[in-house]
Amino acid sequence: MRYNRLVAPLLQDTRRLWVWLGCLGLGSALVLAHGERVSRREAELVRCAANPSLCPGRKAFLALVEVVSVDAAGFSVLKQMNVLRIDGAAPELRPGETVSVIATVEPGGLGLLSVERHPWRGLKRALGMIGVGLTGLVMALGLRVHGGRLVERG
Amino acid sequence: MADLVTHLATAFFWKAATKRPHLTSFVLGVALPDLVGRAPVSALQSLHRHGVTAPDRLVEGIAVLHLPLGFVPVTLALALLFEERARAAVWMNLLGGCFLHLALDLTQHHVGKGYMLLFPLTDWDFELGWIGSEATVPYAPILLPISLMCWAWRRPRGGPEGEGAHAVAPGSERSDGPGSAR
Repeated sequence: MRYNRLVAPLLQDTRRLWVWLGCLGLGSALVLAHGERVSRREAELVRCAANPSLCPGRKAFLALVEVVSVDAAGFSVLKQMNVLRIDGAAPELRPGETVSVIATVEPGGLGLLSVERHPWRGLKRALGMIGVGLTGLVMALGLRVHGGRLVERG
Repeated sequence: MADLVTHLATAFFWKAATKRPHLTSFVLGVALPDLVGRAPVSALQSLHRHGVTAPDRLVEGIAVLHLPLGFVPVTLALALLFEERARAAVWMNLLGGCFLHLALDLTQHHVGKGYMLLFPLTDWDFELGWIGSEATVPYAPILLPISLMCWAWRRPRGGPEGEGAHAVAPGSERSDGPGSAR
């Protein structure tokens, strides 16, 4: 059976170390490749914000970013590890709030087109913590260790 | 991503609907994409606020563990922690949980981006955009107890090891798994 030829060898005790090393290698390669691809896009956005003449009129989508500061003329957001300044009054925003922003590259930097607030974000984070706790509880109740291996309880 | 409590509720609903064993590994699979693909990013961003900066590529790269190909090494590495005869079934349940998680997340809408389902083959991204990214939050406290009750009502009852080591792995011929075929 094809299943046995393809999958069964990966799951044998005798090959555990090599399969773990393979998983580590594949996982690391994927993280590096994805990081390279996405950070190239991010770098382009940061370059555009810093030097708008490079990409005038281009739209920038900033999904689920944190507001780090607000003033009368605009606000700044944290996009992964970069702080980006958005020009355009959004007086209702507060630092620490999560927003999604559509901006356009203008001669002075990034200009605000629209901003979407996410008022449930804090509660969602709290549910995330509860979810981690619940997962831990399910693991604690549903698993036991036997002979150095995990076993699911009946 | 939908909130983690709603994700866990979908796992209980799924197991209640299918009456299949391996709840524990399935629940872990459902939580896994957020635990390995999102939580570290949040932690690194918190550290950034306290002056500790991680490389951009690492922060961006970790998100791949929330995508289909990223599920494979994480779930396989975890499955190898289980005893050999149940490993195939555990791996399938971990993977199934991850894909159920992704299926729920695909119903959401995010500004200007989706999930790169075919990474690394292409940068094409996709999501259905049916609900907002926090749309499930108000329903989570109701969904979880209902899903738990459904699962408690429908859970498989059989021998003492019905959910454990002797369960039939999807695709395997023997009830005691591929490891004992040697």
